[in-house]
Amino acid sequence: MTQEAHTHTGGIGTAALTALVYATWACVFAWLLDAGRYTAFLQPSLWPLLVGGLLLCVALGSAALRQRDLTAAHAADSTQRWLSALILLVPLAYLVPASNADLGSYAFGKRDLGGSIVPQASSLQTPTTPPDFDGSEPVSLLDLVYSAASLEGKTVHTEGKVFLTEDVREGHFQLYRFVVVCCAADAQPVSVLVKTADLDKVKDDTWVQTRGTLRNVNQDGQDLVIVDATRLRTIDMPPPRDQFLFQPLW
Amino acid sequence: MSSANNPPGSPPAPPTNTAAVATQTAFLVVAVGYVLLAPNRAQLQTVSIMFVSIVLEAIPFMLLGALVGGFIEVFVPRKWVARALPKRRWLMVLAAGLLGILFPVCECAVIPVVRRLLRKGVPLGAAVAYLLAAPIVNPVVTLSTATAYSFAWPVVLGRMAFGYAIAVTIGLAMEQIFRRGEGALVPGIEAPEEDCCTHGATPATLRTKIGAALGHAADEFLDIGRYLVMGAFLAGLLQTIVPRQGFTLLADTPFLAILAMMGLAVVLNLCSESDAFVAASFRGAGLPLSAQMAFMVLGPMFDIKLLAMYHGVFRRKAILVLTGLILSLVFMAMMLFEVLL
Repeated sequence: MTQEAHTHTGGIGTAALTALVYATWACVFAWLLDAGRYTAFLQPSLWPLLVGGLLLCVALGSAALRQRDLTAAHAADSTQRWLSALILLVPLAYLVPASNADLGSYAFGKRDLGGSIVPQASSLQTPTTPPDFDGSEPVSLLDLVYSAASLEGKTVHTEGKVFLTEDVREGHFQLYRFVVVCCAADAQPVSVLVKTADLDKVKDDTWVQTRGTLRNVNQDGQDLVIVDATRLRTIDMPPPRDQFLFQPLW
Repeated sequence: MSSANNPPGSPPAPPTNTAAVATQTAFLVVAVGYVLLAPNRAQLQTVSIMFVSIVLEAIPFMLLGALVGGFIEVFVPRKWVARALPKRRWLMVLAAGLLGILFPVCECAVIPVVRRLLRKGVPLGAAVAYLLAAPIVNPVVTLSTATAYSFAWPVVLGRMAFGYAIAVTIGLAMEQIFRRGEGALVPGIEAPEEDCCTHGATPATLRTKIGAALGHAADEFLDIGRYLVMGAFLAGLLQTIVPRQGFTLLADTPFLAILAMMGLAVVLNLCSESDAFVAASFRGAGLPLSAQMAFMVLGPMFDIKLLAMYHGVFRRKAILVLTGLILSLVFMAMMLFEVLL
């Protein structure tokens, strides 16, 4: 094969490789947008980001294919092009374990700032819990901890994941969820303590619904929200796309 | 490689760097090996979620930045840039630090844009000022910071002011240290002698130019995207294994709290639109405002992911100098802030 033909062939191969990377990512974006799978990683309102990513991948992949004659120079550096392409596909290998999992007790243990912390109210949006809330409707854990002061003594109904720790008071466990602003990387836990006689029925990362009376206590200078559970039952793990509670950016 | 094979306006393909190839190959082996062989499944799942979420949020912005860069390459002649810029370099740097107000970009999208601006003859100092300031000094981050801190405007304005001041100071310093760009940039970033698509007797049509711009963008993203992925992987790993509880023990020692929150900013790799919410969450743990501010100012300028992406713009010496300047200036500014509070 002449040098010119080799270069031309290399150019076509390089263009096809580049286009393949873009095509793959376009398919990934489309798959994530389908059925809202992306909310396992991103704030729901960020869907335009993925739509834009998909369209750009299609446009740039098409441009890469049309450029096949112009990429002759890059054929001379095909090793780097192949490495770049493979590296750009690495995240897809991690999409498999990520898509079938949620952030659990391992992540909670690393991110929790200690005890049953009520997040600073100003860092979270005012929840939608109405002032005349009577406990008949389930409330998200985010709303619960934010409105804890106004729910003192009321019956509340919420759900979350179980975290059992050695230093939690006897008969209590932490009920937690993760709150996301932009993406899972900024996920912060919110939690309450649940007091129950059925502690032996739950284990770490079990999803439970609980109903009980809410009370606020201050222990060693730390605000704690405690739910004295009258009912506790395990529920099915929601799909990963429903695992987070979302805090709007503004 | 003969110049006849080099597409007009494209940076010349650099000679294969053995060290870079080895590093990237090692990354592939480690990354693929970890997903296949990780012993701790819970850790793997957490790393996966963190890594994928960082990449998913960043890639669309990087694609957009590459697209903008491609159009700058084709449609913005160097003489326009030279005419538009102030003649005095220090004034150029001061103005560049405010460009994020008009052209807001996140820290991922700004890299490909800055690469193209450098190739159009924008001086190093101005490019660095824009690179560091734009992800902070922009309307989107202003609003998200205000929301996170309940519209406490002194905090918001403080973040903007510190971000701007540090960015232009570093821009001016880089301009002086590298004698106006010499030896600071990776091969192919230096301004070429002629603009893209201006060669030849027949002027390029609009359609041809758009195609060329998209082609440049496609190559740009392929080149710079690898740094994002490598940085995001390391960020996901560190995010997963570094516990945050320890930071609450530093609340009474501002000096250590500032250093710790700077370290956390480097590890967490959050986008500048959401990092204020994480910073604000440490108020409940009693961390001083200076430490929270350090987190919000440093993160958009320097973290693991950005350090990886800087390798697509700067040579190693310039990265070392840039890193040293960013870390030292942020620390000194926050210590001064703590004293003044």
